[in-house]
Amino acid sequence: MNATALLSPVPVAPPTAGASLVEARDLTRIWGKGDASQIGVSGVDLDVRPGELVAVIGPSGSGKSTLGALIAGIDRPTSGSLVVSGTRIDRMKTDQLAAWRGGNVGIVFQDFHLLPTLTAVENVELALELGSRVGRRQRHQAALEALELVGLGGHAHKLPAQMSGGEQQRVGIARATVTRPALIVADEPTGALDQANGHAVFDLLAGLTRTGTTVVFITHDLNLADAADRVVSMIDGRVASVDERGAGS
Amino acid sequence: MRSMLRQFRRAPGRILASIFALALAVGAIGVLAIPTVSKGTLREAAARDGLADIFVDTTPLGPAQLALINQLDNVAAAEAEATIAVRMSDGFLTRMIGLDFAAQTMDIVQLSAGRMPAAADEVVTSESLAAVGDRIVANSVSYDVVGTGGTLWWSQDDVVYADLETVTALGGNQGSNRLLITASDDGLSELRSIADQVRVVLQTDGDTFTTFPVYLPDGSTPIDQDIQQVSTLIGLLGIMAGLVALVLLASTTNTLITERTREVAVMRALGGRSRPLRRRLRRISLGITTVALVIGLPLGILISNFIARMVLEEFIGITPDFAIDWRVLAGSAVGVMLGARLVAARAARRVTKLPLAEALRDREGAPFGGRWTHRLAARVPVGGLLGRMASRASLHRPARTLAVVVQIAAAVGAAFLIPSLATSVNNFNSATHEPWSSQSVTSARDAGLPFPESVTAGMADTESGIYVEGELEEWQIDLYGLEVDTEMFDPMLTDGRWVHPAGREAVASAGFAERNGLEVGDTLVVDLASGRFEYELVGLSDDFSRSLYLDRTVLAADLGEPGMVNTIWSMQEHPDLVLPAASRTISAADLAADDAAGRAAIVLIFGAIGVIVAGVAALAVLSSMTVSLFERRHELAALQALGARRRRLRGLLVRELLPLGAIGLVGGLALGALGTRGIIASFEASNAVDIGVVDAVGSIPFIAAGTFVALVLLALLTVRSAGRRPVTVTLRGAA
Ligand SMILES: Nc1ncnc2c1ncn2[C@@H]1O[C@H](COP(=O)(O)OP(=O)(O)OP(=O)(O)O)[C@@H](O)[C@H]1O
Ligand SMILES: [Mg+2]
Repeated sequence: MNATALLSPVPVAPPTAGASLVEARDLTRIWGKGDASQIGVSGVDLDVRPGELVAVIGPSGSGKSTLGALIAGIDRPTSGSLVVSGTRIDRMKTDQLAAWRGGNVGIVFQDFHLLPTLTAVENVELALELGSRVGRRQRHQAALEALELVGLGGHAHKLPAQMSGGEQQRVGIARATVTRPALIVADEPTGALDQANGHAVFDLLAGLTRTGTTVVFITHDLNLADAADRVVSMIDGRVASVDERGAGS
Repeated sequence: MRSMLRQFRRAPGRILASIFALALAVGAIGVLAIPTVSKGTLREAAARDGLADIFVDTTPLGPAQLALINQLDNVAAAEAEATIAVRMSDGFLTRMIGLDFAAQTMDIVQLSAGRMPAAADEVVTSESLAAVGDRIVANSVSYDVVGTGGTLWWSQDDVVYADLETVTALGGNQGSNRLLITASDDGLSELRSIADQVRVVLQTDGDTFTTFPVYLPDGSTPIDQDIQQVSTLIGLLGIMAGLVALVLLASTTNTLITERTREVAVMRALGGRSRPLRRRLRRISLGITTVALVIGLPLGILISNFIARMVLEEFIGITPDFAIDWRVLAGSAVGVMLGARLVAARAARRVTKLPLAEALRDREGAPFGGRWTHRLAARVPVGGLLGRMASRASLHRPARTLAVVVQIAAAVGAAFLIPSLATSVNNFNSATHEPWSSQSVTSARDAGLPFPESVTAGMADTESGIYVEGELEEWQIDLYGLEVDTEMFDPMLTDGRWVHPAGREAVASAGFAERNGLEVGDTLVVDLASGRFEYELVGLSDDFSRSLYLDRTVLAADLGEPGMVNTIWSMQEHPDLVLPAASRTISAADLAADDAAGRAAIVLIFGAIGVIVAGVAALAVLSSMTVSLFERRHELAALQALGARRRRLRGLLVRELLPLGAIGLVGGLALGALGTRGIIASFEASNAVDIGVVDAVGSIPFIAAGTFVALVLLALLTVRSAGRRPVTVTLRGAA
């Protein structure tokens, strides 16, 4: 397996023609009850097509991260329905959902969430161990290649505590992409990076869409958002506008 | 307190677990209070009864002799009672005590119901024997039970109390045959000297003691000695509980403070000064300790009272009043507070001294990778990824890892100690029976030697002899007078030879002789009821007791009743005997059953303490793991986000716990084995006998399995709660 193989078209069951990879209907997430309740997102309808790079923008507290977490399956909606890769994920049990995530989605967090006791390459390997059935040797090889791809070939055996923020973020991206998921959800992956590094990360994710991967990219950086296929603007938990950029569609 | 409340609101489960475990640990220290609590009750009963200092049975005495004894040096008061064995209508043998209810000043009967006897046919009995209003028949004479009650001295027996004249008449007008003396100065040697003077007084009229006197020096009570021994054991377990408490305290405090590293770093960055920050950090752990004490101290009082009640009800049949040992209470409070303060100060200093940049970057405590051991571990990719995570997590927090190991070891130690003690005592008991081949022992119920030696003449498989108590080298010992060619007893000699007929010779227990520096050829100076006698030590017997074996004719003569005996050993369970005085036959099987019952009681009591210690330790492990899990909740959530099911998380925890469990198990077994040896050695020293240690090897698989199951359950329990919150909520708290 080499780097090109890694980025070859997604092997997961392709969504039926014309169907959306992400299909959210009246999606609502509310914390608490009554007066004390906090609205994360409310009544969101959204479709994301396969191979598309969608940027989600909006002011702080508008519900971007909430939406991202729902789509990535690390949170469950209060109401509404959510179909991702042809699977209804809003009603899944905890463990089912975990297994689904392992095979279908890669998540890039703003604050990395690398496992502190594992080295860079081990962190990446972990995603393979949890998300696919690859032999140990192959796994290690694939993880090294994924690190190479994000420019961290020489840092494979460093612990997170020994790396800079940008380096850690790139490990996070390698970890999210190594399983070749159909969908990648990245919540402000460039927030901790300088401009050059931020663009590099964006280009990396954008490159994945060319091989069929779908990317939901949450950001504050309007420059980056401009380069996306579509831009979803959120305000107060609702989708305010969806802006087609035409470039990729 | 306020900062603690804030802390509590942040992580209630974790703080509660710590408080609860710590409180239980403090409560377990309460077992140290058991001896005081029980002794208090005994002393109270003794004071109420007017417990005498010397108890001895005698040949019948007259009023003139009693008057002389009352005038002896250091005698505050002397009273006489009459005691005989009587047969109830159902054939049951019991004891009847005759006394002057109106004039009693010692061993005063305490009524639990009814009234004192006022007529010759009225009696008071033990509560278990009859009820007020019953009629009982003793030696074919019937009596009205007008009251129930008893004294501390007789609290373990069924006794009938009646008027002195009534009992002497029933016993064939023998007169008073039991002497109670209270001394002004009740030191042991003073009491002995009184007994010697009384002997002299009796001798002038040809009277003697028929039992060896019992001394209760320095205000002690009949079972003080037993309680003292039990206390040694309890103290040891208490120390174990205290150890667990301290380890737990240290690890809880450490975590509570360490996890605020980043918060403190922010405050320092904003200009906060170290000293007030440290004070605030310390206050959190002191707050938790205070709450734990508030719960734990009453718990300790309850535990000590509960176990004291078990001990006293089991061994002397009295129910103690509620009592508190203020020394233990204050001691554990001060100790725990000081310990908390010490650990908190250390942790706080460390947290405020950490370089700012490092502290700010880290979420909870020092990051993995900061030490060479971390980097070394990262370089050695052994095993699966989860296995690596598990072992590195243990390495990351060595103090907590050690704490968990110690806690497991303490639990295992307690779990191994208890059955080892039981098997050792068990083995000791059967060892004491081993030299005896008789199937039954028939003993006279009254003092003295009431049977002629010849009662067994012509009977095959049956021998007559003597069993009495005496004193040698200041130890109370058992003396056996046997036929020289006895077939009932095999001395299992380790040295020397068996006694020659009519020789003033004795064989002694080997362990006892060794502990007192006695060797074959030495002259033994033995105090008997009848006075002081000398014998040559000719052999040592491997019998695990504190005994002397003599020719029965020699012993009978020394006891002042030549040709007489008080005990009959037989190969039959129910020998066909015609005896001239009251007796009771106990079969070897019953004797063994009695032993087993006594043993079961001891095992029950120590089992209870062991369960408490093991429980505290288990809770402590649970609390440590809860804290550890809380610290790593982001890590676990991240794992879940990557697709790990809860089964994987459980696997991770089990991988982490099992090696610690294995080390704890080995350490705990060693600890338990050492503890058993220590306890047995102290028993051997305090009793001058051989007991021997038998490790409960058979319990090891169960303990190992128990440890394993407990750890797996622990992992299950902790992961269950981790799976409940949405991953994103947990991760959000990380930022
Ligand atoms: N776990 C939670 N509990 C309660 N309220 C929450 C929770 N998570 C989010 N919210 C609320 O939901 C709303 C949307 O939050 P969200 O994190 O999605 O915003 P965001 O658009 O990502 O903001 P930012 O750009 O600052 O990251 C906010 O008002 C927030 O307070
Ligand atoms: Mg956000």
